[in-house]
Amino acid sequence: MARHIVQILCIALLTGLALPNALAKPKRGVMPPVLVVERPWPPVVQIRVLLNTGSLADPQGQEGLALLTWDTALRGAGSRDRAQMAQALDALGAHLDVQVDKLGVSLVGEVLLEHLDTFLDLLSDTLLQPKLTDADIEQVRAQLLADVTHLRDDDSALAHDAIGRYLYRGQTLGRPTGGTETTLRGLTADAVRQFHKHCVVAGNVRVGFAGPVDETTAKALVEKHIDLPTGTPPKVTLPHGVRDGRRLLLLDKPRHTQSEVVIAWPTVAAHHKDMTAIGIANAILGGTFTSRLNREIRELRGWSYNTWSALSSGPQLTTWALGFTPETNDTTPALELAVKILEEMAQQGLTPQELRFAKDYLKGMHLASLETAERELGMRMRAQQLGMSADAIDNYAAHVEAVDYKTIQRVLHEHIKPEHLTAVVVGQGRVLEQKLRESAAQFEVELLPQDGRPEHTSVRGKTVGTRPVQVEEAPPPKVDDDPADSAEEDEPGEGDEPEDGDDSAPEGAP
Amino acid sequence: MKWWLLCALLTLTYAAQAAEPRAAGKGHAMQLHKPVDLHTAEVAAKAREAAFPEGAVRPKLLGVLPFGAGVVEQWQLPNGLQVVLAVDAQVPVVAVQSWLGVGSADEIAGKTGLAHLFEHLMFKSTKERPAGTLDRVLEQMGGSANAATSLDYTFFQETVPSTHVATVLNMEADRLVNLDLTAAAFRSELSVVRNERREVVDNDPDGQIEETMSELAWGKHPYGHPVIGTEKDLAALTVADARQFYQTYYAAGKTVLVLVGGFDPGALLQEVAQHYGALPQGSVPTRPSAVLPTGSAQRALAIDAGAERLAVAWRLPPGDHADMAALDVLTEILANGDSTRLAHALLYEQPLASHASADLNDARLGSLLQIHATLLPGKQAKEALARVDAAVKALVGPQPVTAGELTAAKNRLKMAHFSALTSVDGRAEQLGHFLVGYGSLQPLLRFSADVEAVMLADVQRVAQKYLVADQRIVVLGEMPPPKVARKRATAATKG
Repeated sequence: MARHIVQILCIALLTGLALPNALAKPKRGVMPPVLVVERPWPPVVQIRVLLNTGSLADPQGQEGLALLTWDTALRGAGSRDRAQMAQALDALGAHLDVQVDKLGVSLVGEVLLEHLDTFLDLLSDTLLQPKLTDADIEQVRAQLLADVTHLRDDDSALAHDAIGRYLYRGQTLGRPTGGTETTLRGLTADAVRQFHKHCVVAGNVRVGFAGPVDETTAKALVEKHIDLPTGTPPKVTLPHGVRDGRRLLLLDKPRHTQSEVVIAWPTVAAHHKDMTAIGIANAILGGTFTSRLNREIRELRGWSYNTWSALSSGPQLTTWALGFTPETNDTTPALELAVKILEEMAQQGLTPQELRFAKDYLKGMHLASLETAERELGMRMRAQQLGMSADAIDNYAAHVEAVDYKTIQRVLHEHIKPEHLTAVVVGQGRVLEQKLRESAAQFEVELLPQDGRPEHTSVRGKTVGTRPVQVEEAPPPKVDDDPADSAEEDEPGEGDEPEDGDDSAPEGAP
Repeated sequence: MKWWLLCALLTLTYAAQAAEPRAAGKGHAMQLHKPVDLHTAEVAAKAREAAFPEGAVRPKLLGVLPFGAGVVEQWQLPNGLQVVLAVDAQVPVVAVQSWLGVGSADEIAGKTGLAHLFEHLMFKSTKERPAGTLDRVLEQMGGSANAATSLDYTFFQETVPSTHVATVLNMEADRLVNLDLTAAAFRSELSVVRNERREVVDNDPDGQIEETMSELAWGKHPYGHPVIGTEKDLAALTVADARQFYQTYYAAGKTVLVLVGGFDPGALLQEVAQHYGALPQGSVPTRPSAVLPTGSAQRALAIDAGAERLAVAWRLPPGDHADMAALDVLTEILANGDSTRLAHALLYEQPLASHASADLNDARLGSLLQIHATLLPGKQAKEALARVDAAVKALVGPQPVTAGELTAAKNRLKMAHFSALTSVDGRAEQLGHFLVGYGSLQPLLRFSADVEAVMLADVQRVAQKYLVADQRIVVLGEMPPPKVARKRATAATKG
């Protein structure tokens, strides 16, 4: 009882409310669901506000709208203009950033526990009442246009951006989150304001806390600060297919001595029953330092420092990709070798020893992924967004262990399709073009100048027919009034895999 | 200084009490930790020391220090190996980090890049284990491994489930003295490193600017050559160079082993003594010393990029100097936040840049306060330099630091302080950085207090003392003017 009273007192102090009404404040709108990952130390709280509307909701021809909207939202809200908002956040030592991806928008903040209530006031204004002035929109537009230019200076970022566009060219998934020069210039202030209005509605927003805050306190704070209007968020058109065969986009960097190579193909959705097995396969393909790609390309031949494979999961499909960064002269043989490794995996599968190894690796890594409150919160909110149950995280080790040898062989055969690969190479186009065309890897090669973007290729790209992608009917993201209740009601996921925040994953898929 | 921070580590003793909140005044709304009882921790550590039998390898307790809400214990084996233990009973993993006091500053002319190359070579075969064993065993236990090299040190880090930490110690001790470096392994890894250099320097405009900045700022000082090495030196390195380097710098007596996470400190100390106790101490080479260079420098670098870059730096004293806390505050006031002076000058008021930041890179022989800006397309680095100079001139002259700026900077440093210590890896890294970089944990332990004690006058004093013209280094990353295309008319006339 004494502890309960102390807890209520803490909530009252933290929320700035007088007892005994602290927990009985009438709601003016709809309170979003709250997820809390509590850790006693350090005295820093991370707050994530996740909206289930990302750049996939950008209307065709208005790519970059979500990003422009939310980057501008950071420039003043409520009674504060940009400078006043920046000053208020800086005075607390707090950070408030926005992350926009295909699936959603995250407002992510960090603040000292002692300033949490004040910070939530600023965060709430940014979410609900951003100023979105014409002047701010213009300044942010200029920044985003600059980012489009800067993209060409970073081979890795350029390749990752290009693979998403090229793999899903002509589809919703192929549209760039950052927009293009043309679309960014065409976005109107009215479109920005409308987009914000449509996104911030009940049922489309959830809030997470990581740090020394308990669930009762967190809910009281959210109830105090965040009331959502009702409405209908923008709808998203599902992808429908990718082109057959092997295609390679070569982006010319005439003075570069090295190539950035990414190869990708689509596979099933995050909640699909085969996803755990696919995660196991990825660990053996290129997800570890002892993976086949790392062993063959980096360790034995020294062809690349950075060698990887990764899954970028979404509620409709997942993009499976691999990459490496060889010297110009090693580019073609490295590409051929990577394709050969893929072909062997698809045809012959894994060895029983590899299966055992990957299971142990993933189970151990899962422990580390839950070490900090921030990581765990990010993982759990991402899983909710992907329509996965809490069971996918809570019982991850059991799901991994349940994948047997027969299953992994079937999954590799079904989900690696070496005959249908899309590749991007950023490198010396004039040196590489002929070699790649004559390569045993047999890619259809398309060369673009160094600042060429796949958006410009529609008239040059050869349409060879499309192959349907196995698109899942996505379960609706779980946005409930009480996430604790919803977690208990979740059916155990079959084959779910928490893939969260993989920085190496390409942007081409959610 | 990268706010090498205080750390609050939970001990088994206090874990049970940790979740009990208590009320406090507004501004300290929840207090979830009781401060550690240092005396109790010292008694427990001394009991562990006494538990080692006579005649066995017996670690010596050097000290128990308060560290946030917990403690950090410092030990030493008879062969000189230093051991740092920090228990966090709430996590199921352990960060194992081996820190060697050798970095690029220790390299000799013509052999640059050896320290970093060795960071890679340490994952090759030992006399007992074939190449790739360490990675394979670590990954099989669900662990991860990596390594890093700086001006002053090299460190190897593993994060593993707590149940496997003894296996990691066994492998770490093995590679510390038993590396079996073959010519083939050397060649393939050298190729990997040269590819790394192509990726992060030769084909990256920001990497080129950073390398130029080091060269200009430090010249012939031990910090003047790139950590990754020059391409010329890398191409000329031999396996004999590598073997010599290993014999010189890798030994138990030159190593600091940092362990942070969920473990029993008594049992873990026994494991350390077992695996490391018999290793030879090795002789400790004298580390280089040098005085700070002086003089300003400026270079325009042609970059292959879509927008120009600016880097401005000032030389500062070593990272354990008494002025570092005030310099940390000054760095924050200059650029780290959207309301700061350089944010205003470069990003928001008639914007010139899309990104701007400031860093204080602390090191053993001298530090650098660096400002970086990526310009908007079409804007010139020279314009941005003029704005930076004007902001600095105003700060040391007519527009001194305000009380509001000081408070905000302190709060930001406090935040960063805690954030960097959230994970066991982060905590281990802070401990290793200070102990190996400066030979003491004191600069880390007093960091918060030092920052809190900084007054407005201190910030003004260090700004006037260090942000001076004859210590300012500038690199302008400029885009070459577009080439004039040959006129078709000329060709047509010829035709």
